[in-house]
Amino acid sequence: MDRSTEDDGYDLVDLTGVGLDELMQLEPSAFAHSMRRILEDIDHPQDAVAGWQSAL
Amino acid sequence: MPQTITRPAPALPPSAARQPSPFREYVIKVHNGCDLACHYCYMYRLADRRTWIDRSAMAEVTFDRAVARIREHLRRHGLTRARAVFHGGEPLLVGADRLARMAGQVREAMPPGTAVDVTIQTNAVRLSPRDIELFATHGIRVGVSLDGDRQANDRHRRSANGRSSYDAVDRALRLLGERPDIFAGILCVVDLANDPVQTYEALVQYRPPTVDFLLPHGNWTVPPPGYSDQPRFGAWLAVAYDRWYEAPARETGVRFFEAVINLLFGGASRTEAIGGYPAATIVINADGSYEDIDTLRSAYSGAVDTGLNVFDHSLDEALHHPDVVARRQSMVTAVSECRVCPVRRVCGGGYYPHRYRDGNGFANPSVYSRDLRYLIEHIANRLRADIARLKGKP
Repeated sequence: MDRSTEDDGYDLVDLTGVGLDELMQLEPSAFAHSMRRILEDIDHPQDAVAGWQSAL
Repeated sequence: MPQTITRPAPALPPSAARQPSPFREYVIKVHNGCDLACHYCYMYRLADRRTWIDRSAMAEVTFDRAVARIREHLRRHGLTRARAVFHGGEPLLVGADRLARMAGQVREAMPPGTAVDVTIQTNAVRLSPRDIELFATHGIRVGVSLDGDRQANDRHRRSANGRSSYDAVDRALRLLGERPDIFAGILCVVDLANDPVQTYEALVQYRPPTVDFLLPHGNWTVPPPGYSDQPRFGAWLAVAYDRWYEAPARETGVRFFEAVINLLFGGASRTEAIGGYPAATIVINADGSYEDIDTLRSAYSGAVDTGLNVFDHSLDEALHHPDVVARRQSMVTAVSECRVCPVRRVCGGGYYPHRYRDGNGFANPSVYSRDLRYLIEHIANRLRADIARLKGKP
């Protein structure tokens, strides 16, 4: 089901149904890196605290 | 049966919590002076110009008290990880040796088992090979500010007498590119006059682990330079995004873009610039006063003031200061324009200082709301196309 723009107007991108095998085989692009980061965040959730923008 | 992803519950920003989360990031203004005179500097050139007059370094006794207050705060809240940022003005004006001593002092003073990441954010004009070695020895990470190639950088980042900063910064960045152990990355302020692809490529040549594009500060009362009723900043960022995103192999991280992607997937933002995730940050000024995030100086004179300081007050008192609480609970659901916006959960109202308007303070969408929506929708469309391909759809 694509819920990306349904119900509460939530403009999310729906990853439901994407295979982990396909993700692991992606080339080392920015897209692949972002996918893997999402998986890491699901496996190891961290406190939702943001960093100050004026330093790296 | 192959494993597939099920959608995670969207992360809630800390503003949803009843108790403010403790400060985890301590910005220490070790020197309020600077050897550059950048046109857009929020410390000197925007609404609050008090540091233009007071360009002093932090006294040792003030730094000692700041360290003691940080230790007290970490102990009280049982935190085992924190970040100290040596900032200015220009932090290197106190000298690399003193910065190394300060880093050692912070680490030694912390409760047992507490890890403190120490970073400096510098214009890199004075950053020498010896400084880089010293910082590596002391585990101090170095972030640098650069706006692109020579022409782009010299548009704003010059000394008071007009001299270019580019050659000195270029030299320093080439050295840092060889030290991935301490190179934190590059901050770049967007100027619409600069080409976004050229700008990105000028930054990525130094092999930074991360770059970030910062929107020039402005608000509804004093809009940013180049502001119009068209999403020009959003379009600029979208071109830079495409250049970054389309590289066959990821060349660097772009903090702002990666935060948008994470938010679009229902994750959290790691930057206060987007998503309504206010930073758990306190600024300790060179005179020892506690200040709210210093970019609020772009809104009005006094916006950062708490009336509290390291000599007389704990950091917990700053944590409960009404203005600090207000910023950290600044979800935009109360703003009617945002309530009906389809990208509100990703945008989060944008960066807090950019919401300011004389008369009603920060209860507004970002002055960049049009740009943020343009960029978010652009990134979402790119992601949806790639996800569809992954799922085997045309």
